[in-house]
Amino acid sequence: MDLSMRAQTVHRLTRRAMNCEFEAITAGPDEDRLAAAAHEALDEVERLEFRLSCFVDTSDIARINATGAIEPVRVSPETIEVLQVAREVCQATDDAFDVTAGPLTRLWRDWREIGRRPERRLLRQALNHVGMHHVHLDPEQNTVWLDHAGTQIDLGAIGKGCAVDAAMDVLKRYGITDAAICGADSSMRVIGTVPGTLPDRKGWAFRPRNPVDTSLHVSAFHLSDGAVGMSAQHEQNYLYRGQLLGHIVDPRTGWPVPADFATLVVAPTAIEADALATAFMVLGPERSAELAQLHHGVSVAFIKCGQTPDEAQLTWIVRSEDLPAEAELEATGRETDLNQERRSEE
Amino acid sequence: MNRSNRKLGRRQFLTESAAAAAAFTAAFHAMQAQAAEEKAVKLAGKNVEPINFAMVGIGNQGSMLIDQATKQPGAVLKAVCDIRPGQAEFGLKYAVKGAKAYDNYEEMLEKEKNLQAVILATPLFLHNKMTLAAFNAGLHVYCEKMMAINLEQCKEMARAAKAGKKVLQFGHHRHYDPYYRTADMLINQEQALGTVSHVRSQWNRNGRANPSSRWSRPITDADKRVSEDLIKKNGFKDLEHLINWRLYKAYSRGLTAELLSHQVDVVNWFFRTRPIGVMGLGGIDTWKDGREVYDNIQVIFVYPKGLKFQFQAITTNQFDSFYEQFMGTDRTLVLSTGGGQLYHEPNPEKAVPWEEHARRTRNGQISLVLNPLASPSPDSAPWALDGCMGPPVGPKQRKSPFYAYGCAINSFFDCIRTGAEPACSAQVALNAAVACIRADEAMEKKGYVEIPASDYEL
Repeated sequence: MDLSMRAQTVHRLTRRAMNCEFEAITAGPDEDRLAAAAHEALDEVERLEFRLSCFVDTSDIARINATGAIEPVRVSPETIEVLQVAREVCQATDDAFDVTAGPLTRLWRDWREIGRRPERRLLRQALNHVGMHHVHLDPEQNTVWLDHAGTQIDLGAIGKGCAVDAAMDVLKRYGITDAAICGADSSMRVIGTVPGTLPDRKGWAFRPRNPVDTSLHVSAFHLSDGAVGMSAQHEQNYLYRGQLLGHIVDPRTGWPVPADFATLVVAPTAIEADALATAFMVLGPERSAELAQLHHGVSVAFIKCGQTPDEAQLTWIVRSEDLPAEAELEATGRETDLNQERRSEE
Repeated sequence: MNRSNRKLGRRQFLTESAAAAAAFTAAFHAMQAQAAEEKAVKLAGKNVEPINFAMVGIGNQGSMLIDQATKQPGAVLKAVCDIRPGQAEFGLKYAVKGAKAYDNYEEMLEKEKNLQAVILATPLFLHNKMTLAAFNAGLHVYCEKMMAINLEQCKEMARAAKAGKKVLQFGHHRHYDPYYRTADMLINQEQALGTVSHVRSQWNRNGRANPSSRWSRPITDADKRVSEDLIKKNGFKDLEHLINWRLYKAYSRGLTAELLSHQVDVVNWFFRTRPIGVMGLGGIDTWKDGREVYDNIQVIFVYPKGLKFQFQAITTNQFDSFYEQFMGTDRTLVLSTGGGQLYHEPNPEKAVPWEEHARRTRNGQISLVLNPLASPSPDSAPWALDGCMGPPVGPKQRKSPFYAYGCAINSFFDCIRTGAEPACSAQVALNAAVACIRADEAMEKKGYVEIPASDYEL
C-alpha cells in the first residue's frame, strides 16, 4: 500500500465515563468528520452510562433493581438488548458469567474488610438471589422484572464493552474506516489500520499490560477488525488458607476466583470480549478452551501473574483464524503501538 | 492530553472500581430506603389513565424525549414520524407492538385515530404548522422550544390551544428540573439571595473541537437515505440544510432560539417578570461556512425595577460551558442543569441556619452545593455541603441529565388527565420567545430595542 496515499490526520479524544477513561482514536483525511464522529461516539458512551450504570439512580438498571421485583419496569430497547446478550453469554458459559452476581461480590467485599470469610448461611442466602433465571425480559413491551427484591443487576462486567461497541457503531456511521475505541485498558475495539503502520502490518498493535507491573507489557499482537477484553484482579484480594482470592466470585458456587492469573479475549465485538474475559476467569483454562472453540472468531489467552513482572507469562489457549500466529509481534517491536504511544505521552 | 489521565492503567482502574463499589454500599442502602416510596409511586402508575401518543422528529432531542416519554406511567407510543428512515426505525423500537412509522406527519394524523397527544421535536420553522395540524386532529401537543419562528406564529398557536381547550406545553424543561425548582424555592421562599439586581449567563461551546457544537455536522451515509422528494416537500433546500438546519434563517433563529431561550425563560420564571428592553451585538466572525445566523452573540436584557440579564454565547471557547449566575445583595447562586453552588456576600442581612455547616471556599466565600433530594428540616436547606464539615443533609445521588425531560413529559401527561395548566405553558413560552425575537432585532439594529407590553399579549 502506498503510504503517501494514506496522508491522514489522527484525532484523539478522551473522556471520563463509567469510572474510567474512554478514548476514541480516529484517522482519515477529513479532520472535521473525525472530530464530529469522535465527540458523538463518546457522547454515546456517556449516554449509555446514564442508562446502564447501577450507580446512577435514574438509570434503567437502578430502576430495575429498585422496583423490578414489584412490577415490570419499562426500559430502553437497548437495555433489553444488553440484558439479552448477558443472558446468552451466561448460557454459553455454563452460567459462569452472571450480571446478577453482585450480592455475592458485595458479601465477600464486606467480610473481607473485617478479615473473615462470609458465613455459609449468608452465602446461601445470596446465592438464592443470583441467576439470570430470576431476570425476566419482555422485548415487545421493553419491560424487565425480577423474581426477588434481592436480585440485583450490575452490568460492570459488560457495560464497558457495550459502550465501546456503540461508540464504534457511531464512527462507522460517519464512514470512519481506521479507528480504535478504548475503555480503559480492559475493553477495546478497532477497525482498519493505524496510520503510519508499516505496509506489511495491517491493523492495530496491542501490547497487553503486564498485570504485575502495568508499565510493562507481556505480549504483542495486531488486529485489524475486532475487539479485545481483559479481566484481571490484582487488587481487592483476599488471602484465605494460603490461597489468594480475587474480587470476581463464581456465581455458581459463591466462592471467589483465584487471583493469580488474568484473561485476555479477542472477539468480534467488545461486549463479547468483555463478558467472556470475565467468564473465562471463572471457568479456568481447560473449560474456557472447550467453550471458546465453539465461538467463531474468539481467541483466548491466560496470563499467569507470578510474584514479579518477569514471572508474568501470556499463553494463548485458543487462537481463532482471525488471529493467526503471524499476528503476533515481537514484544519490543517498533510497530506503531497504541500502548506505547500512550506511554510516550505520559 | 491531560497528563494524569493518561496514566490510568488497569491497576488504577481496579482501585477506582473498588472505590465505586464502596460507594455502592451507601447508594444501595439509600436506594433501599427510597424503594418504599418508589414502590408507592410505581404502583400508583399502574392505575393511571393511559395516554396514546405519537412522536414526530427523532433527532438528538427527539431521541432523548422518546426514551424518557415511553418510561412514564401510562405512556403508550402508538406511532412515530421522521423523514429520515433510520430515525423512524429507531423510534419504532420504543413503540408498542403494531405501531407504525411514518415519513409524513399529516398522513400520520389522518390515519392514527386513537391518538390523544403528539410530541414534536422538529426544526423551529415547523412548530407552528405541526402544532396547528395536531390541534385540528384533536390532539394535545408537547412542542420543543423555542415556541415558533416568529411572534405571529407563537400567538396563533397559543390562541388555537385556548380555543380548542387543548394542552400545549413547551420544552423549556428547566421548569421541571429538581435543581431549578429547588433554586426557585430558595430565591422566592427563603429569599436567600437578598435583592437580585443582575443575572449573568453563558452558553459557550467550541466549534473547532467539535463541529457539531457549531451546528455543522458532516453528512453520514444514513442521512443519505432520505429521499430528495421528502426533503423538498418538507421545506428544506437540500440534505445539508435538513441536517444543519440551525444555520439557516428559513428554519431557525440561531443562538437566541436554541440556547438563550432556555436561560431567559429561567430569569422570567424566577423573578415572575419579563424583559421590557434589550440590546445586543452579534456577528458571523469565525465560521464563514455559508451560515446565516450569528456564531457569537452578546445580549443584555432590561427588566422592570432595574434588573439586568446579560447573556453570552460563543462558539470558539467552551470554558465553563453553560450556567446562570444570580447575583443578590446577600448571596450569589450559580446554577446549571447538573447542580448549583451558593456563595455568600460579606455580612449578609439575612442569615440562613444551615449555612454554618459549609466550609469556606473560593476567595474565602462560603459555597454550598445544591441537593434537591436533601431531607427538609429546620436546620437543613436543600443544599448538600461542598466539603466534609458538618453533618450530611441527604444522600448524594447521581441523576441522568435527561431526567428533567422525563419529569416534563410526565407532567404533560398529567395535565392531559387533569386539565391543569402546564408549568411551561404557551404564555411562559411566548414570554421567552418574545425576548429572543426582540434580541435578534436588537442585534440586527446594533442597538437598543424596547419591548412593548403588547408583545406578550395573546
